[in-house]
Amino acid sequence: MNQLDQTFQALADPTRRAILARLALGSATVGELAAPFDVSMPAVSRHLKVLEDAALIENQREGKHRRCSLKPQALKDAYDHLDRYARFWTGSFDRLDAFLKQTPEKKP
Amino acid sequence: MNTMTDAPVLIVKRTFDASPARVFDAWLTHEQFQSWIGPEGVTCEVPVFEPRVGGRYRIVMKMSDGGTLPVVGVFKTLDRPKGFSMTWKWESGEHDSLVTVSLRDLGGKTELTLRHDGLQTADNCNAHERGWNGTLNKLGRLLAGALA
Repeated sequence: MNQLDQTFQALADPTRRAILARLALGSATVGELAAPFDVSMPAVSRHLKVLEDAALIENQREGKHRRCSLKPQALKDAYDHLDRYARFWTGSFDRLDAFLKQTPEKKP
Repeated sequence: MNTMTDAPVLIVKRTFDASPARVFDAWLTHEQFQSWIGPEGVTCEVPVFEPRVGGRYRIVMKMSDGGTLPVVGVFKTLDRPKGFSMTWKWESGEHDSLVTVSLRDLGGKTELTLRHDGLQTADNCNAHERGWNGTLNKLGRLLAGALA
């Protein structure tokens, strides 16, 4: 599995997306990340492991706790991948718009 | 064809000053489609275009560096003037993605929603990657919108 596939697989889960959205606001301990979710600590740890394996987050020991933070590069790569398609379609739509204006509708 | 997983999904909306039937025909008529498909500065030829269920198409994008980037696919559904769907694959790539276009009548205007599913894997488009000044504030949009 390439890096991009691994990123998208990691993103294909609502809990993990919520964890990333939280980390986009700033780093947090594992306990702080687990608090809003109705899941066990081991379940949260598994989600964090998937995110770490996909290079989306990193963590550092901080006393008795682990503090997680976002690693933007993998997300940027994923965004760039989608953005290439977005540019293709928005660029095409600009031209479609111009095409439709050049060739007015025949009124019945 | 690979299975369409729940992420990622790209959704692009645009309102056009034309009826749904007119927008539909701009997509599903060979000469019309070829005249506008592709972003600014990228000339596209459409040597194969069979607008019927099961029919194929082939779009050849001519990149500014002289290279070509062909896309191939098959029309899956056609429902004039409500919309259509087609598979989409870089000819040299492994995975099919799915493009679904829905047209909503806004009384003389048309709201077009394009949904591009199954953009799962890297492709040879990487070779043509353009510069990108991404910022992290787009993360929120990615998480809230494109992947919701």
